[in-house]
Amino acid sequence: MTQRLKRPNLSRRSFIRAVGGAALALPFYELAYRGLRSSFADVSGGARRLIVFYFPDGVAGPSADGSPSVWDPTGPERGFTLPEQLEALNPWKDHVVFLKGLSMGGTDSGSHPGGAKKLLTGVDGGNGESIDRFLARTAGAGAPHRHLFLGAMANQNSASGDKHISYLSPGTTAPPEDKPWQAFERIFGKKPDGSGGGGSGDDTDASIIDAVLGDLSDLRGKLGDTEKSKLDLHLEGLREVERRIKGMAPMPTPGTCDMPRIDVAGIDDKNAYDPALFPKLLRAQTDLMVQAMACGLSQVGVLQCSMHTSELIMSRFPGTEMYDPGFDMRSHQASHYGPSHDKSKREYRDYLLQRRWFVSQFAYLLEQLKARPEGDGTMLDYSVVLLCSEVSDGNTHSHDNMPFLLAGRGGGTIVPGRLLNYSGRRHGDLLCSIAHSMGQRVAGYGQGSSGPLPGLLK
Amino acid sequence: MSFRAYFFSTVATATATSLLLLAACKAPTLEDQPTGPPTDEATVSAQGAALYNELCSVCHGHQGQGGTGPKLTDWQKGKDTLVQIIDERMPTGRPDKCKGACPEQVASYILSGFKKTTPTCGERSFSPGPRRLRLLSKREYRSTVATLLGWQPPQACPASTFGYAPGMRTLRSVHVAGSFNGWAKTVAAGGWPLTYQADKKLWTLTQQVPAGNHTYKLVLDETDWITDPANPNMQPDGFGGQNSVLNITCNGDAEDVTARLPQDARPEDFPFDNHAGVRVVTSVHVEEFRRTAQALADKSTADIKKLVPCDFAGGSAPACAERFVREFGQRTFRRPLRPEEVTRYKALLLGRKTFELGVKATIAALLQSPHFLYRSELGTASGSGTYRLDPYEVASALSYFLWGGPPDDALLAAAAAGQLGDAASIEKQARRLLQDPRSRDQVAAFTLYWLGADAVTSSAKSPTLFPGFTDSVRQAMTEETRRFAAHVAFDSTGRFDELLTADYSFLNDALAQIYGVTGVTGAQLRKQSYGGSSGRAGLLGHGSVLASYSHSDQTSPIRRGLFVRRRLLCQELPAPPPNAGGVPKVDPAATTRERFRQHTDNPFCNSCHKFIDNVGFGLERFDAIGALRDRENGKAIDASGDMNDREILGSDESAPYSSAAQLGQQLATSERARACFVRQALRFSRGYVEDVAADLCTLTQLQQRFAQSGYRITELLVALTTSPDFLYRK
Repeated sequence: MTQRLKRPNLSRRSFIRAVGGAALALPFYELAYRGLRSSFADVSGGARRLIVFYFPDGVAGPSADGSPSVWDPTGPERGFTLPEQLEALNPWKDHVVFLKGLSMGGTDSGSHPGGAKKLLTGVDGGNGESIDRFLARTAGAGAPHRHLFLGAMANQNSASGDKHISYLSPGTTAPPEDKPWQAFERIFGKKPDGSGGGGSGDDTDASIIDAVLGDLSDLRGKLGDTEKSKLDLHLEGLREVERRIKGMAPMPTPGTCDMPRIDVAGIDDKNAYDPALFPKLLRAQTDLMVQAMACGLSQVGVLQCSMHTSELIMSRFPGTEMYDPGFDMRSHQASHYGPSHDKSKREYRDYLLQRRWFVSQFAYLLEQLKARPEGDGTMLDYSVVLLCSEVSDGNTHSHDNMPFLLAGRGGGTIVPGRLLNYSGRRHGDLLCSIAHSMGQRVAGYGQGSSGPLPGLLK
Repeated sequence: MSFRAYFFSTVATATATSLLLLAACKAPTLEDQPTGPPTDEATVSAQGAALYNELCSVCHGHQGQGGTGPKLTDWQKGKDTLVQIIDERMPTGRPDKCKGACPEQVASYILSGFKKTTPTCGERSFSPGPRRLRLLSKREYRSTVATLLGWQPPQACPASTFGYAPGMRTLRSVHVAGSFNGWAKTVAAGGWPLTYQADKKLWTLTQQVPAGNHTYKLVLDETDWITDPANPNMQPDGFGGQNSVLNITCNGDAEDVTARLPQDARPEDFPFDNHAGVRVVTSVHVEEFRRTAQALADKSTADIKKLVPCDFAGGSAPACAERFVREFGQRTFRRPLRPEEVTRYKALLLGRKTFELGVKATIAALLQSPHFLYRSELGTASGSGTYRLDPYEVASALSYFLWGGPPDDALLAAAAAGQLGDAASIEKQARRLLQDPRSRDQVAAFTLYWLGADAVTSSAKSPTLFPGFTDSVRQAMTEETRRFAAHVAFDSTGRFDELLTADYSFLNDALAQIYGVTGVTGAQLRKQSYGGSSGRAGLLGHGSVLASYSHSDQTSPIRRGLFVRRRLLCQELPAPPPNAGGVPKVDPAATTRERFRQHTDNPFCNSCHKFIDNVGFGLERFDAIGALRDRENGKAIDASGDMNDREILGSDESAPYSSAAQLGQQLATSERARACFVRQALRFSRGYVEDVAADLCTLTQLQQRFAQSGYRITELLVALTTSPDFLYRK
């Protein structure tokens, strides 16, 4: 059953009125509104967007000495209780589906890199395209920016390869953008303080792109199969930029799109990896993601916090439960908390506090989505938001009973507020369900996937 | 005989035999078509041996005697079953590492009884790599646009030298006081002290002075203020006297034009920034290339007359446009433009409102063209599915390999003259390029990436424990490794072993303080001997390495041990199994070594950790920023270690050492380490990880040439360019 969505007034005039008639020259992202035809008739009434929120090094699950998981909620399908790691989601229970029992399979299941490779691809060794890239080029292909990959200190220490969870193609990851001010400028066409922006004012930009496209098409034609996927990707990128320049991008019905802003005061290239700035950076990236989507500029995004085996010194985050300026406690360090759930051990205590914090940042994301009206509900109603990490229990590096959470109503395809047990099923089935909710009815996703998770979608 | 003697004698025999074989045939030339390694039993088994030693020996033993995995010396279940098991399940946890021809090759070696055979490599036995378009890395892009647009990339400001000859006078102190240090009245207040050199009867100081216009005086005995007698530039000081004047122009803080470009992606097992496969242009790249090209075009057309070689007023515009497009286009694409490209860009230029705007648009477009952004390694068909790089492609391949930048006019002229198609002319150019200072930068960059020591720039360190570890120190450490590598390769013996055994490095005062070395003053790096007391030698003693492989507040024997295995020995260990268990209770009073006892006490953990911890522990005298220490938490540090199974994992060979310098010595003379260095250099040249089986012949030949040269780094680089692997693709 699809939801009927209210059609907001999309004329340029009403938009300008809404933002208070600022600036004579229209912001670049407004090109997205030009020549717009309502395209929600094209959407099958399902989820309009996917946001993946990743945090590293797993959660406190079952202990090595046999205590049960302290991550899983307890109780029946509805009316369940959340444990301390998930406490920040207590106000959000009705908006989240809590999933138990999903496995990523046994191959390489003792390792972080192995998990990071499988996480969004569903394939051992990362030999596949990740779900975000797949959806970006299918369900999300019409958006001006098909894919947003924003990181919080995810490129530190020359990170590369399987430290990044988004796979363009088998074995090929791409790094996220760690600098929100730079990503902001790219997406909105001007700096966060409002300066910059503006194109050539005439058709020069378009002519330049045409010349480049000419060269690329010639090369592509000449080479046939050689380097085909590389050039296809380049061509896709050029076409995406071409559409933005020529104002040709059609869009799904946007939610509220205020004057976008992010707070990056005091952060620049020089201190971009100071751990004390992490909370602020993550907040800026989250705000950027939500606002870009609110303006209909993208439909698929991944927020990557740090990377697996993270050296991120979380005890330096000011204003958080785990803050301790006198002692360095890193994410990966805390994850190896020992064989038992022993709160007298610093690692275990801090590990719980760290996970609570990541979950609270996920809650902030949900809050931002819920605060923006869309259709006859909110952005959250039309979204699928996935919380994930590359292992389940961080101490044992298990790939079973993975800590996936799904939030949002997916445009009516998801009924949240439930605790569901999918013991024995592969997580590729979850990725498959997500694809279905975005209108891509694939038969499965990744290895060992037999279809969508039964009972998850309507 | 001991395994080691057996191994070496076999290698020696293999070398002699294959040399003999090569000599028996006609001398190899680059013009010959590649066929890949031969498929005779001896070669297949040799390939199997290489793969086995790479993937299997760590668990099954170097002679199949068993270990954590079962023994394989008496396989009864037949070849097919063995091949199937390997294909489906081995190596354990990562079966994708041995697919295709690999299971058969490994099985062949196992069933031969682990017999060492000599591959019958001939002159055509190399496996050409795939035809590729190689995206410019950020570093290459930076270097390319600097050359193209004729401006200097950001350079560190040069140091200034101050000198004072006291004549008959005996002085206690001489210092520099000026606008750069608040006119400090005394050394304690920040004056820059000169040092007296008795042999020259001269007070001197070399100091980095920041960019700007400065005035200063020399201060004798902190009482007499005089102008610098060695400096003729003076100006009134406002008090009726004169100040000495020093104007420093340098652009050390100039904006990095590639700051917006995304980071260079790379797979986990490839250390460098120039991978040929996974670095692809996404829409983020397209947008950032667009902005960067626009900014560069704006910047470079500030002086249009300099850029455009002809008169473009009125009717001369079309002809001038064509000339500009051809000439500038050729420099941008690193080859002459094709007719359709000239037409395209000429139309773009002339279609703008003014010629200047047209030039700007054309430059912006050319810098976004795939012909600029990618280096072509496509080649032209030369029979049987093989392609040979054309002269312009060879020119670029040479310059980007040896300089990390675009070909110069001499290379392009050689390409235009149809040269660069044979080993002799390629070698001539390679040697010419190695004479140029740009190759020093390239060797420096290679070394930094090879070791992963570039991570020192962003690696977080505790400010409470290491307050002196400033950005300036990080930069100095990076520069130390770069200077050292270039010095060894070009100024000193040029040999690989010196990289690991050198009893000196390039230090400034801050680094010397961290390293515990006396007698170094000034901010400028200079060659300084260690004096043989710290146990520090070569690259393993560099802060860039030691700090990159540590945590923020403690060392990491695990990461350092893995660093040595992976980067210096090309050895890989299996992933920990699921439920490997947590670390033991942490006793904050114990040393790092004691805290990691669990790894050695528990035989299950020890089976792998003995290869890691025993190496990492040997570097424990150097703390998380590479500083020397004798005690940790009040306890004496035990910095002994064991560079075990250095040549092959699973050979149960012990090689104890008791200092980092000794560890360096063991690695410097290790055949495996030398072979690994060749592999790393091949990766750097090609842009992808080698295949020890398919590339067996190529690697054997390169390793031989490296050995014959006395393990000279620059000779290895030349050998890489004259290897047929350089010229052919498929």
